[in-house]
Amino acid sequence: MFVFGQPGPLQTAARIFFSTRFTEKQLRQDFEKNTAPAIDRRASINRSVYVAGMGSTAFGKHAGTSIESLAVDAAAQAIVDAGIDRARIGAVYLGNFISGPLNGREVLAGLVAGQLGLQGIPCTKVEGACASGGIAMRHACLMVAAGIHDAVLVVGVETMTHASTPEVTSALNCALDNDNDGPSGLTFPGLFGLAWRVHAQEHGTTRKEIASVVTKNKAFGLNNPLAQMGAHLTLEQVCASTMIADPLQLLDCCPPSDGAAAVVVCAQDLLSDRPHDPRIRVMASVQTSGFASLSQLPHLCSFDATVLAAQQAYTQSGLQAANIDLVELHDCFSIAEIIDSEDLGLVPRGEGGRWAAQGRTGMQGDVVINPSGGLLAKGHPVGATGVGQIVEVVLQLRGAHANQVPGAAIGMTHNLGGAGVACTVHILGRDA
Amino acid sequence: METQAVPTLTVFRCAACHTTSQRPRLVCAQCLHRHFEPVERVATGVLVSWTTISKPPLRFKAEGVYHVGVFDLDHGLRVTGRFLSTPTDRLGDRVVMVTNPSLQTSTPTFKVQHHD
Repeated sequence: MFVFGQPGPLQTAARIFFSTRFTEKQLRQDFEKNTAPAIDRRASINRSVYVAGMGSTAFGKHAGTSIESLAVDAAAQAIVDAGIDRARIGAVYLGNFISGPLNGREVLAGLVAGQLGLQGIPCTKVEGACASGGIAMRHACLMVAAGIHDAVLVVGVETMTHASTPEVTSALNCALDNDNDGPSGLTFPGLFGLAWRVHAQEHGTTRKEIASVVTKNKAFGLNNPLAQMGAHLTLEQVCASTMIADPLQLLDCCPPSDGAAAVVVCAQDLLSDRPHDPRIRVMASVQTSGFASLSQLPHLCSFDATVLAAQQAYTQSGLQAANIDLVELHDCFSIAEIIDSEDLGLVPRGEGGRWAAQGRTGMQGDVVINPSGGLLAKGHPVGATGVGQIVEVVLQLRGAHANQVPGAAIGMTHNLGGAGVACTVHILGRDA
Repeated sequence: METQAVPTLTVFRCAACHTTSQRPRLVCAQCLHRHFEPVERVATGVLVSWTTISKPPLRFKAEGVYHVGVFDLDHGLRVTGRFLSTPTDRLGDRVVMVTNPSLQTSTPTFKVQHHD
Protein backbone atom coordinates (compact mmCIF):
# COMPACT_ATOMS: atom_id res chain seq x y z
CA MET A 1 0.00 0.00 0.00
CA PHE A 2 1.36 3.40 -0.91
CA VAL A 3 1.84 5.74 2.04
CA PHE A 4 2.68 9.34 1.27
CA GLY A 5 6.19 10.11 2.53
CA GLN A 6 7.07 6.45 2.88
CA PRO A 7 7.78 5.25 -0.66
CA GLY A 8 8.03 1.57 -1.39
CA PRO A 9 10.50 0.09 -3.90
CA LEU A 10 8.29 0.84 -6.90
CA GLN A 11 7.83 4.44 -5.87
CA THR A 12 11.55 4.82 -5.35
CA ALA A 13 12.24 3.36 -8.81
CA ALA A 14 9.78 5.78 -10.34
CA ARG A 15 11.38 8.72 -8.57
CA ILE A 16 14.84 7.72 -9.80
CA PHE A 17 13.50 7.23 -13.34
CA PHE A 18 11.94 10.65 -13.55
CA SER A 19 14.82 12.42 -11.82
CA THR A 20 17.50 10.93 -14.04
CA ARG A 21 15.84 10.72 -17.45
CA PHE A 22 14.81 14.34 -17.84
CA THR A 23 17.77 16.48 -16.92
CA GLU A 24 17.72 20.24 -16.80
CA LYS A 25 20.15 20.29 -19.71
CA GLN A 26 17.82 18.23 -21.87
CA LEU A 27 14.87 20.43 -21.02
CA ARG A 28 16.82 23.56 -21.82
CA GLN A 29 18.03 22.14 -25.13
CA ASP A 30 14.46 21.36 -26.10
CA PHE A 31 13.27 24.78 -25.06
CA GLU A 32 15.96 26.40 -27.16
CA LYS A 33 14.94 24.28 -30.13
CA ASN A 34 11.42 25.59 -29.62
CA THR A 35 10.04 22.05 -29.77
CA ALA A 36 7.72 20.18 -27.47
CA PRO A 37 9.19 19.71 -23.99
CA ALA A 38 11.51 16.75 -23.53
CA ILE A 39 9.08 14.90 -21.34
CA ASP A 40 6.50 14.86 -24.12
CA ARG A 41 8.78 13.27 -26.68
CA ARG A 42 10.80 10.95 -24.51
CA ALA A 43 8.37 9.84 -21.88
CA SER A 44 7.46 6.24 -22.30
CA ILE A 45 5.49 3.70 -20.37
CA ASN A 46 8.18 2.95 -17.76
CA ARG A 47 6.60 0.00 -15.96
CA SER A 48 4.47 -2.05 -18.35
CA VAL A 49 0.75 -1.42 -17.97
CA TYR A 50 -1.86 -4.04 -18.84
CA VAL A 51 -5.61 -3.96 -19.28
CA ALA A 52 -6.68 -6.70 -16.90
CA GLY A 53 -10.43 -6.42 -17.14
CA MET A 54 -13.23 -4.59 -18.88
CA GLY A 55 -16.96 -4.04 -18.63
CA SER A 56 -19.63 -2.01 -20.34
CA THR A 57 -23.31 -1.36 -20.46
CA ALA A 58 -24.89 -1.23 -23.87
CA PHE A 59 -24.83 2.32 -25.22
CA GLY A 60 -28.31 3.66 -25.96
CA LYS A 61 -31.35 4.78 -24.04
CA HIS A 62 -31.50 3.81 -20.37
CA ALA A 63 -34.58 5.69 -19.25
CA GLY A 64 -35.05 5.57 -15.51
CA THR A 65 -31.55 4.28 -14.78
CA SER A 66 -29.37 6.66 -12.78
CA ILE A 67 -25.94 7.73 -13.97
CA GLU A 68 -24.36 6.14 -10.88
CA SER A 69 -26.12 2.86 -11.61
CA LEU A 70 -24.73 2.67 -15.15
CA ALA A 71 -21.21 3.44 -13.93
CA VAL A 72 -21.36 0.89 -11.14
CA ASP A 73 -22.68 -1.76 -13.53
CA ALA A 74 -19.74 -1.33 -15.93
CA ALA A 75 -17.17 -0.98 -13.14
CA ALA A 76 -18.30 -4.11 -11.32
CA GLN A 77 -18.07 -6.07 -14.57
CA ALA A 78 -14.52 -4.80 -15.10
CA ILE A 79 -13.37 -5.70 -11.59
CA VAL A 80 -14.80 -9.21 -11.83
CA ASP A 81 -13.36 -9.64 -15.32
CA ALA A 82 -9.92 -8.59 -14.09
CA GLY A 83 -9.91 -11.20 -11.37
CA ILE A 84 -8.01 -8.79 -9.12
CA ASP A 85 -8.65 -8.42 -5.42
CA ARG A 86 -10.44 -5.09 -4.94
CA ALA A 87 -7.95 -4.21 -2.21
CA ARG A 88 -5.25 -3.94 -4.89
CA ILE A 89 -7.10 -1.12 -6.67
CA GLY A 90 -5.31 2.03 -5.61
CA ALA A 91 -7.32 4.73 -7.36
CA VAL A 92 -10.37 5.48 -9.50
CA TYR A 93 -10.42 7.84 -12.48
CA LEU A 94 -13.85 8.60 -13.91
CA GLY A 95 -14.43 10.42 -17.18
CA ASN A 96 -17.59 12.50 -17.43
CA PHE A 97 -18.50 15.75 -19.13
CA ILE A 98 -22.01 17.02 -18.40
CA SER A 99 -23.41 15.22 -15.37
CA GLY A 100 -23.66 18.62 -13.70
CA PRO A 101 -25.88 20.47 -16.20
CA LEU A 102 -27.92 17.44 -17.31
CA ASN A 103 -28.19 15.42 -14.08
CA GLY A 104 -27.28 17.78 -11.26
CA ARG A 105 -24.73 15.21 -10.09
CA GLU A 106 -21.04 15.74 -9.39
CA VAL A 107 -18.26 13.95 -7.46
CA LEU A 108 -19.25 10.91 -9.44
CA ALA A 109 -15.92 9.13 -8.96
CA GLY A 110 -16.33 9.07 -5.19
CA LEU A 111 -20.01 8.10 -5.41
CA VAL A 112 -19.24 5.19 -7.72
CA ALA A 113 -16.26 4.02 -5.65
CA GLY A 114 -18.40 4.08 -2.53
CA GLN A 115 -20.98 1.83 -4.18
CA LEU A 116 -18.20 -0.59 -5.16
CA GLY A 117 -16.77 -0.77 -1.65
CA LEU A 118 -13.59 1.02 -2.65
CA GLN A 119 -13.10 3.22 0.39
CA GLY A 120 -10.27 5.55 1.28
CA ILE A 121 -8.55 5.66 -2.11
CA PRO A 122 -8.18 8.73 -4.34
CA CYS A 123 -11.21 9.03 -6.63
CA THR A 124 -11.03 11.66 -9.34
CA LYS A 125 -13.50 12.80 -11.96
CA VAL A 126 -11.71 14.14 -15.02
CA GLU A 127 -13.25 16.33 -17.70
CA GLY A 128 -12.03 17.06 -21.18
CA ALA A 129 -15.34 17.31 -23.06
CA CYS A 130 -15.72 14.33 -25.42
CA ALA A 131 -12.18 13.19 -24.52
CA SER A 132 -12.99 12.80 -20.81
CA GLY A 133 -12.90 8.99 -20.91
CA GLY A 134 -9.59 8.86 -22.76
CA ILE A 135 -8.06 11.28 -20.28
CA ALA A 136 -9.22 9.10 -17.38
CA MET A 137 -7.55 6.12 -19.04
CA ARG A 138 -4.32 8.00 -19.55
CA HIS A 139 -4.12 9.16 -15.93
CA ALA A 140 -4.69 5.61 -14.74
CA CYS A 141 -1.91 4.33 -17.02
CA LEU A 142 0.49 6.98 -15.73
CA MET A 143 -0.21 6.02 -12.13
CA VAL A 144 0.57 2.37 -12.80
CA ALA A 145 3.54 3.13 -15.04
CA ALA A 146 5.07 5.39 -12.40
CA GLY A 147 4.55 2.85 -9.67
CA ILE A 148 2.17 5.01 -7.66
CA HIS A 149 -0.52 2.35 -7.80
CA ASP A 150 -0.43 -1.29 -8.91
CA ALA A 151 -4.00 -1.32 -10.21
CA VAL A 152 -6.41 1.48 -11.11
CA LEU A 153 -10.10 1.44 -12.06
CA VAL A 154 -11.08 3.60 -15.04
CA VAL A 155 -14.75 4.46 -15.61
CA GLY A 156 -16.50 6.58 -18.22
CA VAL A 157 -20.17 7.45 -17.96
CA GLU A 158 -22.83 9.83 -19.30
CA THR A 159 -26.61 10.07 -19.49
CA MET A 160 -28.10 12.39 -22.11
CA THR A 161 -31.25 10.93 -23.64
CA HIS A 162 -33.58 12.25 -20.92
CA ALA A 163 -32.83 15.83 -22.04
CA SER A 164 -34.25 17.65 -25.08
CA THR A 165 -32.08 18.24 -28.16
CA PRO A 166 -31.67 21.99 -27.43
CA GLU A 167 -30.73 21.18 -23.82
CA VAL A 168 -28.13 18.62 -24.94
CA THR A 169 -26.81 21.01 -27.62
CA SER A 170 -26.48 23.77 -25.04
CA ALA A 171 -24.70 21.49 -22.58
CA LEU A 172 -22.28 20.25 -25.26
CA ASN A 173 -21.66 23.85 -26.29
CA CYS A 174 -19.94 24.35 -22.92
CA ALA A 175 -16.93 22.86 -24.73
CA LEU A 176 -16.86 25.62 -27.36
CA ASP A 177 -14.88 28.83 -26.96
CA ASN A 178 -17.87 30.79 -25.77
CA ASP A 179 -16.05 34.13 -25.83
CA ASN A 180 -15.13 33.94 -29.51
CA ASP A 181 -17.16 31.26 -31.29
CA GLY A 182 -20.18 30.98 -29.02
CA PRO A 183 -21.77 34.39 -29.80
CA SER A 184 -21.99 33.43 -33.50
CA GLY A 185 -24.43 30.63 -32.65
CA LEU A 186 -22.00 27.93 -33.73
CA THR A 187 -22.69 24.35 -32.64
CA PHE A 188 -20.52 21.23 -32.86
CA PRO A 189 -22.39 19.92 -35.91
CA GLY A 190 -21.80 23.40 -37.35
CA LEU A 191 -18.07 23.17 -36.67
CA PHE A 192 -17.89 19.95 -38.67
CA GLY A 193 -20.13 21.43 -41.35
CA LEU A 194 -17.48 24.14 -41.76
CA ALA A 195 -14.74 21.48 -41.93
CA TRP A 196 -16.71 19.46 -44.51
CA ARG A 197 -16.88 22.37 -46.95
CA VAL A 198 -13.14 22.95 -46.71
CA HIS A 199 -12.36 19.24 -47.20
CA ALA A 200 -14.66 19.10 -50.21
CA GLN A 201 -13.10 22.20 -51.73
CA GLU A 202 -9.48 21.21 -51.15
CA HIS A 203 -9.65 17.47 -51.81
CA GLY A 204 -12.72 17.01 -53.98
CA THR A 205 -14.43 14.88 -51.33
CA THR A 206 -17.99 14.14 -52.39
CA ARG A 207 -21.27 13.80 -50.50
CA LYS A 208 -21.52 10.11 -51.34
CA GLU A 209 -17.96 9.40 -50.23
CA ILE A 210 -18.74 10.91 -46.84
CA ALA A 211 -22.04 8.99 -46.70
CA SER A 212 -20.09 5.75 -47.18
CA VAL A 213 -18.58 6.27 -43.70
CA VAL A 214 -22.13 6.22 -42.32
CA THR A 215 -23.22 3.09 -44.17
CA LYS A 216 -20.05 1.25 -43.06
CA ASN A 217 -20.34 2.18 -39.39
CA LYS A 218 -24.09 1.64 -39.16
CA ALA A 219 -23.64 -1.82 -40.67
CA PHE A 220 -20.92 -2.63 -38.11
CA GLY A 221 -23.30 -1.46 -35.39
CA LEU A 222 -25.89 -4.06 -36.36
CA ASN A 223 -23.73 -6.89 -35.02
CA ASN A 224 -22.39 -5.14 -31.92
CA PRO A 225 -24.52 -5.91 -28.85
CA LEU A 226 -23.15 -2.78 -27.16
CA ALA A 227 -24.24 -0.49 -30.02
CA GLN A 228 -27.20 1.87 -29.97
CA MET A 229 -28.35 1.95 -33.59
CA GLY A 230 -27.04 -0.33 -36.26
CA ALA A 231 -28.74 -0.32 -39.65
CA HIS A 232 -28.37 -1.32 -43.26
CA LEU A 233 -28.55 2.04 -44.99
CA THR A 234 -28.14 3.11 -48.59
CA LEU A 235 -26.13 6.14 -49.58
CA GLU A 236 -29.37 7.67 -50.80
CA GLN A 237 -30.99 7.28 -47.38
CA VAL A 238 -28.08 9.06 -45.73
CA CYS A 239 -28.23 11.88 -48.26
CA ALA A 240 -32.00 12.27 -47.79
CA SER A 241 -31.95 12.62 -44.01
CA THR A 242 -32.87 15.84 -42.18
CA MET A 243 -30.47 18.76 -42.52
CA ILE A 244 -28.72 19.61 -39.22
CA ALA A 245 -25.82 21.92 -40.08
CA ASP A 246 -25.54 22.14 -43.85
CA PRO A 247 -23.94 20.10 -45.40
CA LEU A 248 -24.14 17.83 -42.33
CA GLN A 249 -27.37 15.81 -42.15
CA LEU A 250 -28.99 13.77 -39.39
CA LEU A 251 -27.43 10.42 -40.32
CA ASP A 252 -24.01 12.07 -40.44
CA CYS A 253 -24.31 12.76 -36.71
CA CYS A 254 -23.77 10.45 -33.76
CA PRO A 255 -26.78 10.11 -31.47
CA PRO A 256 -26.92 11.34 -27.88
CA SER A 257 -26.62 8.28 -25.66
CA ASP A 258 -26.62 6.90 -22.16
CA GLY A 259 -23.97 4.41 -21.18
CA ALA A 260 -20.93 3.48 -19.17
CA ALA A 261 -17.70 1.58 -19.75
CA ALA A 262 -14.89 0.57 -17.44
CA VAL A 263 -11.49 -1.09 -17.46
CA VAL A 264 -8.97 -2.11 -14.81
CA VAL A 265 -5.35 -1.37 -15.66
CA CYS A 266 -2.56 -2.93 -13.65
CA ALA A 267 1.09 -3.85 -13.44
CA GLN A 268 2.26 -7.11 -14.95
CA ASP A 269 2.71 -8.94 -11.64
CA LEU A 270 -0.99 -8.59 -10.89
CA LEU A 271 -1.92 -10.49 -14.01
CA SER A 272 -1.05 -13.90 -12.57
CA ASP A 273 -4.61 -14.66 -11.52
CA ARG A 274 -6.16 -13.07 -14.56
CA PRO A 275 -8.49 -15.50 -16.28
CA HIS A 276 -7.99 -14.24 -19.82
CA ASP A 277 -5.32 -14.83 -22.38
CA PRO A 278 -3.78 -13.13 -24.21
CA ARG A 279 -2.38 -10.32 -22.12
CA ILE A 280 -3.27 -6.85 -23.40
CA ARG A 281 -0.48 -4.33 -22.93
CA VAL A 282 -0.75 -0.55 -23.18
CA MET A 283 1.95 0.29 -25.73
CA ALA A 284 1.27 4.02 -25.84
CA SER A 285 -0.82 6.42 -23.78
CA VAL A 286 -0.77 10.02 -24.98
CA GLN A 287 -2.73 13.17 -24.24
CA THR A 288 -2.33 16.44 -26.11
CA SER A 289 -4.09 19.77 -26.36
CA GLY A 290 -5.04 21.95 -29.29
CA PHE A 291 -6.73 25.26 -29.92
CA ALA A 292 -10.09 25.98 -28.35
CA SER A 293 -11.15 28.65 -30.80
CA LEU A 294 -11.87 28.40 -34.52
CA SER A 295 -9.95 31.60 -35.11
CA GLN A 296 -6.82 29.87 -33.81
CA LEU A 297 -7.15 26.70 -35.87
CA PRO A 298 -4.53 26.88 -38.60
CA HIS A 299 -6.65 24.61 -40.77
CA LEU A 300 -10.34 23.85 -40.48
CA CYS A 301 -10.13 20.22 -41.59
CA SER A 302 -7.25 19.00 -39.44
CA PHE A 303 -6.81 18.93 -35.68
CA ASP A 304 -3.29 19.61 -34.47
CA ALA A 305 -3.95 17.81 -31.19
CA THR A 306 -4.65 14.58 -33.09
CA VAL A 307 -1.61 14.92 -35.35
CA LEU A 308 0.64 15.51 -32.34
CA ALA A 309 -0.90 12.71 -30.29
CA ALA A 310 -0.47 10.23 -33.13
CA GLN A 311 3.17 11.19 -33.62
CA GLN A 312 3.86 10.78 -29.92
CA ALA A 313 1.97 7.48 -29.73
CA TYR A 314 3.94 6.01 -32.65
CA THR A 315 7.20 7.15 -31.05
CA GLN A 316 6.23 5.82 -27.63
CA SER A 317 5.20 2.42 -28.98
CA GLY A 318 7.91 2.09 -31.62
CA LEU A 319 5.17 1.39 -34.15
CA GLN A 320 4.04 2.96 -37.40
CA ALA A 321 0.58 3.55 -38.77
CA ALA A 322 1.00 0.52 -41.02
CA ASN A 323 1.28 -1.71 -37.92
CA ILE A 324 -2.21 -0.80 -36.67
CA ASP A 325 -4.74 -3.57 -37.35
CA LEU A 326 -7.79 -1.61 -36.25
CA VAL A 327 -8.66 1.76 -34.82
CA GLU A 328 -11.60 3.03 -32.83
CA LEU A 329 -11.53 6.74 -33.65
CA HIS A 330 -13.69 9.71 -32.76
CA ASP A 331 -16.33 9.76 -35.53
CA CYS A 332 -18.72 12.13 -33.80
CA PHE A 333 -19.72 13.08 -37.36
CA SER A 334 -19.11 11.28 -40.65
CA ILE A 335 -16.63 13.91 -41.85
CA ALA A 336 -14.78 13.59 -38.52
CA GLU A 337 -13.84 9.97 -39.34
CA ILE A 338 -12.30 11.14 -42.60
CA ILE A 339 -10.36 13.96 -40.93
CA ASP A 340 -9.25 11.79 -38.00
CA SER A 341 -8.06 8.96 -40.24
CA GLU A 342 -5.86 11.44 -42.09
CA ASP A 343 -4.63 13.18 -38.92
CA LEU A 344 -3.67 9.80 -37.42
CA GLY A 345 -1.60 9.01 -40.50
CA LEU A 346 -3.70 5.96 -41.34
CA VAL A 347 -4.88 7.40 -44.66
CA PRO A 348 -3.01 9.82 -46.95
CA ARG A 349 -4.06 13.46 -46.51
CA GLY A 350 -7.12 14.22 -48.58
CA GLU A 351 -7.87 10.58 -49.40
CA GLY A 352 -10.12 9.77 -46.44
CA GLY A 353 -13.33 10.05 -48.41
CA ARG A 354 -12.13 7.95 -51.30
CA TRP A 355 -10.68 5.27 -48.99
CA ALA A 356 -14.03 5.01 -47.22
CA ALA A 357 -15.96 4.78 -50.49
CA GLN A 358 -13.56 2.12 -51.85
CA GLY A 359 -13.91 -0.04 -48.73
CA ARG A 360 -10.30 0.46 -47.72
CA THR A 361 -11.38 1.29 -44.14
CA GLY A 362 -13.85 -1.60 -43.93
CA MET A 363 -13.36 -5.14 -42.65
CA GLN A 364 -11.45 -6.22 -45.75
CA GLY A 365 -9.58 -2.94 -46.09
CA ASP A 366 -6.07 -1.63 -45.49
CA VAL A 367 -6.97 -0.57 -41.94
CA VAL A 368 -10.23 -1.38 -40.21
CA ILE A 369 -11.81 1.77 -38.82
CA ASN A 370 -14.49 1.64 -36.14
CA PRO A 371 -15.52 -2.02 -36.33
CA SER A 372 -17.65 -1.32 -33.25
CA GLY A 373 -19.81 0.97 -35.35
CA GLY A 374 -18.03 3.97 -33.89
CA LEU A 375 -19.81 6.88 -32.32
CA LEU A 376 -22.13 7.02 -35.33
CA ALA A 377 -23.69 3.63 -34.57
CA LYS A 378 -22.49 2.55 -31.15
CA GLY A 379 -23.52 5.92 -29.73
CA HIS A 380 -21.76 8.72 -27.89
CA PRO A 381 -22.41 8.89 -24.16
CA VAL A 382 -19.77 11.60 -24.08
CA GLY A 383 -17.79 10.80 -20.93
CA ALA A 384 -17.99 7.06 -21.58
CA THR A 385 -16.83 7.08 -25.19
CA GLY A 386 -13.05 7.03 -24.64
CA VAL A 387 -13.27 4.12 -22.21
CA GLY A 388 -15.76 2.34 -24.45
CA GLN A 389 -13.21 2.52 -27.27
CA ILE A 390 -10.66 0.76 -25.01
CA VAL A 391 -13.25 -1.95 -24.25
CA GLU A 392 -13.83 -2.46 -27.97
CA VAL A 393 -10.12 -2.85 -28.71
CA VAL A 394 -9.63 -5.25 -25.79
CA LEU A 395 -12.45 -7.42 -27.15
CA GLN A 396 -10.75 -7.41 -30.55
CA LEU A 397 -7.36 -8.37 -29.11
CA ARG A 398 -8.97 -11.16 -27.12
CA GLY A 399 -10.50 -12.42 -30.36
CA ALA A 400 -13.97 -12.04 -28.86
CA HIS A 401 -15.56 -9.20 -30.81
CA ALA A 402 -18.83 -9.55 -32.68
CA ASN A 403 -17.14 -7.87 -35.65
CA GLN A 404 -13.81 -9.60 -35.18
CA VAL A 405 -10.89 -8.28 -37.22
CA PRO A 406 -9.01 -11.43 -38.27
CA GLY A 407 -5.67 -11.75 -36.50
CA ALA A 408 -6.01 -8.43 -34.68
CA ALA A 409 -2.85 -7.92 -32.61
CA ILE A 410 -2.53 -4.14 -32.34
CA GLY A 411 -5.37 -1.67 -31.90
CA MET A 412 -5.55 2.09 -31.49
CA THR A 413 -8.08 4.41 -29.87
CA HIS A 414 -8.52 8.12 -30.58
CA ASN A 415 -10.70 10.37 -28.42
CA LEU A 416 -11.13 14.07 -29.29
CA GLY A 417 -12.72 16.79 -27.17
CA GLY A 418 -14.14 20.22 -27.94
CA ALA A 419 -12.96 21.88 -31.13
CA GLY A 420 -9.85 19.71 -30.89
CA VAL A 421 -8.80 21.23 -27.57
CA ALA A 422 -8.17 17.84 -25.92
CA CYS A 423 -7.07 14.58 -27.47
CA THR A 424 -5.93 11.16 -26.33
CA VAL A 425 -4.47 8.29 -28.33
CA HIS A 426 -3.86 4.83 -26.91
CA ILE A 427 -2.24 1.86 -28.60
CA LEU A 428 -2.92 -1.58 -27.14
CA GLY A 429 -1.10 -4.72 -28.16
CA ARG A 430 -1.50 -8.42 -27.57
CA ASP A 431 1.59 -9.80 -25.85
CA ALA A 432 3.20 -12.57 -27.83
CA MET B 1 -19.88 62.32 -55.38
CA GLU B 2 -20.32 60.47 -52.09
CA THR B 3 -18.03 57.54 -51.43
CA GLN B 4 -19.29 54.61 -49.45
CA ALA B 5 -17.55 54.27 -46.08
CA VAL B 6 -15.44 51.16 -45.70
CA PRO B 7 -16.82 49.21 -42.71
CA THR B 8 -14.50 48.56 -39.82
CA LEU B 9 -14.50 45.97 -37.08
CA THR B 10 -13.31 46.63 -33.55
CA VAL B 11 -10.64 44.10 -32.64
CA PHE B 12 -8.26 44.03 -29.70
CA ARG B 13 -4.53 44.57 -29.78
CA CYS B 14 -2.04 43.59 -27.11
CA ALA B 15 -0.57 46.85 -25.81
CA ALA B 16 2.87 45.26 -25.57
CA CYS B 17 3.42 43.09 -28.68
CA HIS B 18 0.47 44.27 -30.84
CA THR B 19 -0.88 40.76 -31.46
CA THR B 20 -4.56 41.15 -32.36
CA SER B 21 -7.53 39.01 -31.44
CA GLN B 22 -11.24 39.13 -32.20
CA ARG B 23 -12.10 39.76 -28.56
CA PRO B 24 -10.03 40.88 -25.58
CA ARG B 25 -8.13 37.96 -24.12
CA LEU B 26 -7.41 37.32 -20.45
CA VAL B 27 -3.72 37.46 -21.30
CA CYS B 28 -1.71 37.74 -24.52
CA ALA B 29 -0.69 34.24 -25.65
CA GLN B 30 2.49 35.66 -27.20
CA CYS B 31 3.90 37.79 -24.39
CA LEU B 32 1.56 37.25 -21.39
CA HIS B 33 0.74 40.96 -21.25
CA ARG B 34 -2.67 41.68 -19.72
CA HIS B 35 -3.68 44.96 -21.31
CA PHE B 36 -5.53 45.07 -24.64
CA GLU B 37 -6.64 48.13 -26.53
CA PRO B 38 -9.50 48.32 -29.05
CA VAL B 39 -8.45 49.17 -32.59
CA GLU B 40 -10.48 49.55 -35.78
CA ARG B 41 -9.62 47.33 -38.72
CA VAL B 42 -11.07 47.31 -42.20
CA ALA B 43 -13.70 44.56 -42.18
CA THR B 44 -13.13 42.98 -45.57
CA GLY B 45 -11.61 39.62 -46.28
CA VAL B 46 -12.19 36.13 -47.65
CA LEU B 47 -14.82 33.49 -46.93
CA VAL B 48 -13.05 30.45 -45.40
CA SER B 49 -16.17 28.35 -44.86
CA TRP B 50 -19.78 28.53 -43.73
CA THR B 51 -22.55 26.32 -42.44
CA THR B 52 -26.28 26.61 -41.93
CA ILE B 53 -27.42 25.87 -38.39
CA SER B 54 -30.82 24.18 -38.51
CA LYS B 55 -30.76 22.85 -34.92
CA PRO B 56 -29.63 25.75 -32.73
CA PRO B 57 -28.87 25.61 -29.02
CA LEU B 58 -31.44 27.00 -26.55
CA ARG B 59 -29.90 30.47 -26.59
CA PHE B 60 -30.53 30.90 -30.32
CA LYS B 61 -33.60 28.73 -30.73
CA ALA B 62 -35.89 31.72 -31.37
CA GLU B 63 -33.85 32.67 -34.44
CA GLY B 64 -34.64 29.44 -36.27
CA VAL B 65 -32.26 28.72 -39.13
CA TYR B 66 -29.14 30.92 -39.50
CA HIS B 67 -25.72 30.82 -41.16
CA VAL B 68 -22.33 30.89 -39.40
CA GLY B 69 -19.08 31.59 -41.22
CA VAL B 70 -15.34 31.80 -40.72
CA PHE B 71 -13.59 34.72 -42.41
CA ASP B 72 -9.94 35.62 -42.95
CA LEU B 73 -9.77 39.39 -42.78
CA ASP B 74 -7.32 41.31 -44.92
CA HIS B 75 -5.31 42.48 -41.92
CA GLY B 76 -4.59 38.87 -40.95
CA LEU B 77 -7.14 38.03 -38.27
CA ARG B 78 -9.47 35.02 -38.62
CA VAL B 79 -12.92 35.66 -37.15
CA THR B 80 -16.12 33.71 -36.59
CA GLY B 81 -19.46 35.40 -37.21
CA ARG B 82 -22.81 35.32 -38.93
CA PHE B 83 -23.00 34.99 -42.70
CA LEU B 84 -25.71 36.24 -45.04
CA SER B 85 -25.58 33.29 -47.40
CA THR B 86 -26.89 33.05 -50.95
CA PRO B 87 -26.93 30.04 -53.29
CA THR B 88 -24.03 31.33 -55.40
CA ASP B 89 -21.52 31.74 -52.57
CA ARG B 90 -18.20 29.93 -52.90
CA LEU B 91 -15.28 29.45 -50.54
CA GLY B 92 -12.65 32.08 -51.24
CA ASP B 93 -15.21 34.75 -52.20
CA ARG B 94 -14.47 38.31 -51.06
CA VAL B 95 -16.60 39.28 -48.05
CA VAL B 96 -17.45 42.52 -46.29
CA MET B 97 -18.94 43.17 -42.88
CA VAL B 98 -22.49 44.51 -42.83
CA THR B 99 -24.76 45.82 -40.13
CA ASN B 100 -27.32 43.36 -38.88
CA PRO B 101 -29.67 45.21 -36.50
CA SER B 102 -31.94 42.23 -35.99
CA LEU B 103 -29.13 40.23 -34.41
CA GLN B 104 -29.35 39.88 -30.62
CA THR B 105 -25.81 38.59 -30.19
CA SER B 106 -22.46 40.38 -30.24
CA THR B 107 -20.98 38.80 -33.33
CA PRO B 108 -20.07 40.42 -36.66
CA THR B 109 -22.06 39.65 -39.81
CA PHE B 110 -20.51 39.29 -43.27
CA LYS B 111 -21.76 38.83 -46.80
CA VAL B 112 -20.12 38.17 -50.14
CA GLN B 113 -19.19 41.46 -51.81
CA HIS B 114 -20.34 40.67 -55.35
CA HIS B 115 -23.95 40.69 -54.17
CA ASP B 116 -23.96 44.49 -53.89
